[in-house]
Amino acid sequence: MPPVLSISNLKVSFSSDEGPIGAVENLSYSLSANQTLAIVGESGSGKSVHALSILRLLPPSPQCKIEGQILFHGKNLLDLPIKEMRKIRGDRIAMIFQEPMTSLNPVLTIGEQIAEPLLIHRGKSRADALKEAARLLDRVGIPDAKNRLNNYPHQFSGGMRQRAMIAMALSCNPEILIADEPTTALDVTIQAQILELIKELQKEFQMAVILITHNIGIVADMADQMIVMYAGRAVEAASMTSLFKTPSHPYTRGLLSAIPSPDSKKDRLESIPGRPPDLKNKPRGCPFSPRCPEVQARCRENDPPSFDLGDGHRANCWLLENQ
Amino acid sequence: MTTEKEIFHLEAQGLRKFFSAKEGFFGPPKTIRALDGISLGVEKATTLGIVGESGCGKTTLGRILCLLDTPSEGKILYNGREVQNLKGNKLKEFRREVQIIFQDPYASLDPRMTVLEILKEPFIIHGEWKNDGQTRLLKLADKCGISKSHLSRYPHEFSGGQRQRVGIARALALNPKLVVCDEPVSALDVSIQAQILNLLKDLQKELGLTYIFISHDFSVVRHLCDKIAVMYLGKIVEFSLANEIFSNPQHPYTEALLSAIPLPDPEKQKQRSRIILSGDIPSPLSPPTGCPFHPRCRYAKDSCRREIPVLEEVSPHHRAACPVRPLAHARISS
Repeated sequence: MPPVLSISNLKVSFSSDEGPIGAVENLSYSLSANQTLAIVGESGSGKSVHALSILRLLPPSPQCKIEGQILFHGKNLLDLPIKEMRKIRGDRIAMIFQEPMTSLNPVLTIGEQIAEPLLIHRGKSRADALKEAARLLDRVGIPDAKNRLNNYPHQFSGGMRQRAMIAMALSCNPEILIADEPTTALDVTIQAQILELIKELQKEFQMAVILITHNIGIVADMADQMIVMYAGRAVEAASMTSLFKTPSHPYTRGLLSAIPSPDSKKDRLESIPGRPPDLKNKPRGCPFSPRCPEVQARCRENDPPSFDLGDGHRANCWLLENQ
Repeated sequence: MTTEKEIFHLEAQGLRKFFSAKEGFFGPPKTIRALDGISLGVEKATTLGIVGESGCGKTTLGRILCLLDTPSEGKILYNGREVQNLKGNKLKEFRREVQIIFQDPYASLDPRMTVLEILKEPFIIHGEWKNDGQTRLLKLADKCGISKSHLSRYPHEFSGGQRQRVGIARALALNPKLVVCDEPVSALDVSIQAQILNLLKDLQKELGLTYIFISHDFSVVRHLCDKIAVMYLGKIVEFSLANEIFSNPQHPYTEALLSAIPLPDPEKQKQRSRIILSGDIPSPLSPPTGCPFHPRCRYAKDSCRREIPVLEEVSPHHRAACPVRPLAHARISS
């Protein structure tokens, strides 16, 4: 199956008074229909910036530089004129944002917001669009959908707002759904509901899903492929099973053991000491070296390349050189 | 449990808290029962976890337990003495011993004060700065992982995890005996979360602290707590030892919460059956009749719609407020 989306050597940098900030560096991957890719990393690892650059939602200014290729059905999204891009955005590629409160418009009703993409992309009449919006709202599990269309976002709970966001994103049957931390602001029970809903809808619409999160735990049963990002670059990429069976980068291992598991009561959680590097002055060599428990002398000098571990499993760490 | 005459470090007896809310500008005021008959206790140097979804009243309970808010009814006992009506110097004395760490490290630090000023404040208020305040503050900052060079900076210069360390240091400044932790790690990344949880654990061991740990995340709670109370709509629905709750949940809500925890292992996650609760927690303005959980419960029977279940002993040290689920399970397993 040809990939729906294929990204090669994506580089996003912002210029600041204190020098350039490399938010994303040399990111490459491809994604087919009906597949789910999880992108995991701490805040500041570049995972959201990469998502915004796919949709070209980063401010078009000289301060922000995007290089590389983002091929959507073979067309480079970065070369498209804005008019063409608008046709794709919200229609063929849709996004769910992290905070459902700040990403919905507080002065428009839920119905108007869900109907908007249908009016713009499908040229439907207002009445038809609202009817469709009611159907969508019902589909994402909001009871009494027809009357709820006239509600404003503040009348919805957090979980319901996120459902409304999903309804909006799905209104035009997108081929790719990007979900940026869709459940971080929600309770565990609601989180389970929302993830289950995304899974169901993916089956129904055969979408490719990009799931962005900082918690490896929540994507364990959702994703097929996973990319772990650190300081703007992919440090490990693999299929889900391979990554959980043999996590090969020390950072991935750290992330996995930092999750408190309900199964076992460890006395201490293993934590990754320190915090992610300042993107304005990244450390020399491997960006993870200052926090790495297995650091060697050369890690501080030279940046490790990506080593192929077979079966599409790749990781950037000098420890893997001789394997 | 109460017959054993345990002396609790902090105990709540029949706590109720009502808020009044108006529906519309001219509507009649309605009563919200934020807390509805909460009784629980925590023993010295142990950790009590309080778990529930947003809106269940866990934060209100935390605030009342450290007297930041007054209960509408009920008693709070500290070392066996009633404290809910304390005023003036006695209240100040209580505050020295009972402290709180807030949820949002972005909103709970004054943006116009440096870290040094923030940490100095408790010492000044309690008149201890002049003695050995300076040395104690430095020791404290060091213990909580705040380096000396950070003391002159402002909160906005820090990451979430660093700010939470400041929040912890401020709570611990005057050597409290009991600390209420209100979702101290829910705003943080997983890797930083582990650092903070380890810090809390180390401090407990070192200083013999009692914690009341409020969270919506069961896996975090299990990691720290000795006993756990599960709350739903202002009531405790299950209360037991942490291990007991995890291995043998008796309330359908606890069971559902446990099954909603994502396991960090794809194999295990695929095998297990998850109970997905439908709907949100109901509005406390118009709570359901009978058992407050019945609209979302998969064991609900007709009687659940009418009768309000009470917290009953299932086994020693284990109480649950559901007459239906244990029976249903006994039938399935036999």
